[in-house]
Amino acid sequence: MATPSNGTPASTLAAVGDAVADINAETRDKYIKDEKVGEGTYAIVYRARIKATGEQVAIKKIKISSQQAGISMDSLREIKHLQELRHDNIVNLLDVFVGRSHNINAVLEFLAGDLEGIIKDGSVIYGTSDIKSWMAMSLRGLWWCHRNFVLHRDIKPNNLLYTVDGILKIADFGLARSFADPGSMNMTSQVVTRWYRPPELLYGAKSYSSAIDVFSLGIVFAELILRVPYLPGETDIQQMVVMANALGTPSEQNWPGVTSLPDYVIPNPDNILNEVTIPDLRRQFTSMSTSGLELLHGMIRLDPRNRITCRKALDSEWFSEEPLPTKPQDLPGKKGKEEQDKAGQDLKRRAGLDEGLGGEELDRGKKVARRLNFGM
Amino acid sequence: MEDVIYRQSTQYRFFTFTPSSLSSLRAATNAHAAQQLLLELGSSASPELMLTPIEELKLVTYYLTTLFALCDHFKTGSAVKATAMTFLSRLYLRISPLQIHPKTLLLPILFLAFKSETGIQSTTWFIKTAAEVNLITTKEELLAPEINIAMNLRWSFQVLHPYRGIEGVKAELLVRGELPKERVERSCAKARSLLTGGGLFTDCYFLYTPGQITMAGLWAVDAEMCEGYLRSKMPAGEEKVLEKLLRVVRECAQWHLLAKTEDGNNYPGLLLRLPQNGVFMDAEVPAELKKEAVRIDRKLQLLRKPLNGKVKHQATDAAEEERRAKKRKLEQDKMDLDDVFGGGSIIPKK
Ligand SMILES: Nc1ncnc2c1ncn2[C@@H]1O[C@H](COP(=O)(O)OP(=O)(O)OP(=O)(O)O)[C@@H](O)[C@H]1O
Ligand SMILES: [Mg+2]
Repeated sequence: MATPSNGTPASTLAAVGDAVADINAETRDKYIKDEKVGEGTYAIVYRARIKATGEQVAIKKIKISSQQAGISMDSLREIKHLQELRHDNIVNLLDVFVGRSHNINAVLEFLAGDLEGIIKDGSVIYGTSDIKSWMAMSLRGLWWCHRNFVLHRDIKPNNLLYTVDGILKIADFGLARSFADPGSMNMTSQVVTRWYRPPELLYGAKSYSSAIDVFSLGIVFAELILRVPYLPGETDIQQMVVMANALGTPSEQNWPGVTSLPDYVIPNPDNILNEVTIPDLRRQFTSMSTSGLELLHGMIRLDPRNRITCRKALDSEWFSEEPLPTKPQDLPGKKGKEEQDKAGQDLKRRAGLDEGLGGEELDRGKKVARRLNFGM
Repeated sequence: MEDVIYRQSTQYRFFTFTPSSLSSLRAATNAHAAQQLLLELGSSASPELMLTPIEELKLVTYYLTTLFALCDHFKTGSAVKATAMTFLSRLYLRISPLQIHPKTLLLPILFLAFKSETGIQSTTWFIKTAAEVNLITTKEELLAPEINIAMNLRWSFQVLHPYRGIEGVKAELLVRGELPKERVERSCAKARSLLTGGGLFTDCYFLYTPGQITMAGLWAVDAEMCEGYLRSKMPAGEEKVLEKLLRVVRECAQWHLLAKTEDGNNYPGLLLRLPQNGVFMDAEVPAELKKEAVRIDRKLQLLRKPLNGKVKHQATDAAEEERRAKKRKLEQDKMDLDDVFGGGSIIPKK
């Protein structure tokens, strides 16, 4: 076999692929970076503009230089999946370029805020229509991920962002992976932020499905209603206890096979509970209609095989019954100062309009809602 | 629906061609690299010494067999293997062996394929496994090229592999139970090994959709079963669509997956990986073709010899800046010529 140590050093690759280096430089020069707007574990996010049009974008700059360390797994996963997923409810990746210090920069559409911000901000008032709208958009985006054999593996309020127009976008694909290869499943269970982690992962399952994301989104759903985290465990062990007390004790009766998962335990031996039922949920989520409770229940079932799929969830009566989902542009949310003022005006205008809304218009609204399109 | 997903994919957007556009791209890459190398070599060079486009294709394909063997040594499994093979094929569409020797990229490409497909990122294990077959590399040598490989792959890491479709067809045929179980299983296993073996050396991924290649793989091993399956999937009254589909599937199978040296060439004059063009396409290299690859390899080494030791075209920022400054200057000169008012460069021209 050939020895790679002699010959041209591989690091000259970009320079020799002239056209490619040019494309990179041109891409980089297409944008003007403005101020920093956020920082995560592995990236800094800047507000930026497209030079030619002035359109606002976000540039996510990976902190570590790839020169020595190579491409970090998070950015590899994020770029890999966002390059393929184009959907109204998934953050749009516009470009990727390498900066002058060899850092990878991902150019994303600019987003105004995330659901965590909304849930936590006591001054924001929202209701069932708004939750419906956020849930429908999240489910559509997630449906498209799953349709493309991508598991997000980190669904939580802070990764559900929205545009200034209120369109919800699933973001942060740093933990995502593909499940296109059937059979040979050996995946890590160390994924999903603890409070949103489904029971099969808490039990160390090495083979899991799109149902993990559905569970996480179900917990977000509950949190949107309660406005406090639904299952806030302080440690991984605690998480199992909190989960079992709220949703029931996993057992062979409610989840055949669960006892053979690697880390199976009975988390609450002194308080063994049956799996939570819709009437149980009704006591806790008093504001919810029956169809809403059915949807929530379907999303947070213990046995992943019993959980509803995104596609089925979107067919839920809850989305087509009154009150109908809020139009994205009318959703509450922190927007820039100007946008907030503008939103205020819109709100007033809409109030006037609503008064004149006849039965006919309402009917049309219903039909539109029923004919949920999947953003395609 | 399948179509919508496919048309969104980078595989379709960046790496799908017609036979002639694929051929032109290869020719252009070779011409550009040859011209550049001649400039670098100065008076010592003669154009006849350059690698021809077909020689390049032979050389890269030869290194695909090396990569294939390397994957077997690493026990990569089909996904990593097929992805690594595709990465190497895709890279050499827009770069030429005249610029960078494929053998220097094999380990970094394999490592990137591992990362992308499995999330495995332990360099220690990788370096140790490579050393077992006398490939000595360091963590830095492995990781430093990664970003450039990614750039040259146009930041596309997902590869849609046709072998994945076989399982679905098999399951469906078994449920229907019209054909003997043994036949279904044997034919599907053979199709899978074709698509994860010889198929990875062909140009199929560049020319056909994953679904078409899956079917062509089945057709190649059991045409009757494949055509029966396709007919049963097509609603009545869609004969035209069916005929067209069958034509594509047969073409992909006969002209690529099953192509033989002695077959007539259906793509005269095109730079495609076909045995008729003397481009070798299987995991086991016959002796005379290996000799040919060694000859091309030596030619390439001799050609680049005068450059050894010279640090040229380092991917440093300074070098890149200089190159771009030159380009800007050229463009500016051109612009100034056009500008009858002799205007300066205060307002950038849109
Ligand atoms: N497309 C975007 N537009 C505007 N702001 C964004 C965008 N993407 C991310 N941000 C902001 O930048 C911050 C950092 O984002 P990032 O996804 O890197 O990390 P995070 O999710 O907050 O944290 P972690 O890396 O720990 O998951 C986010 O909290 C958000 O406020
Ligand atoms: Mg995040």
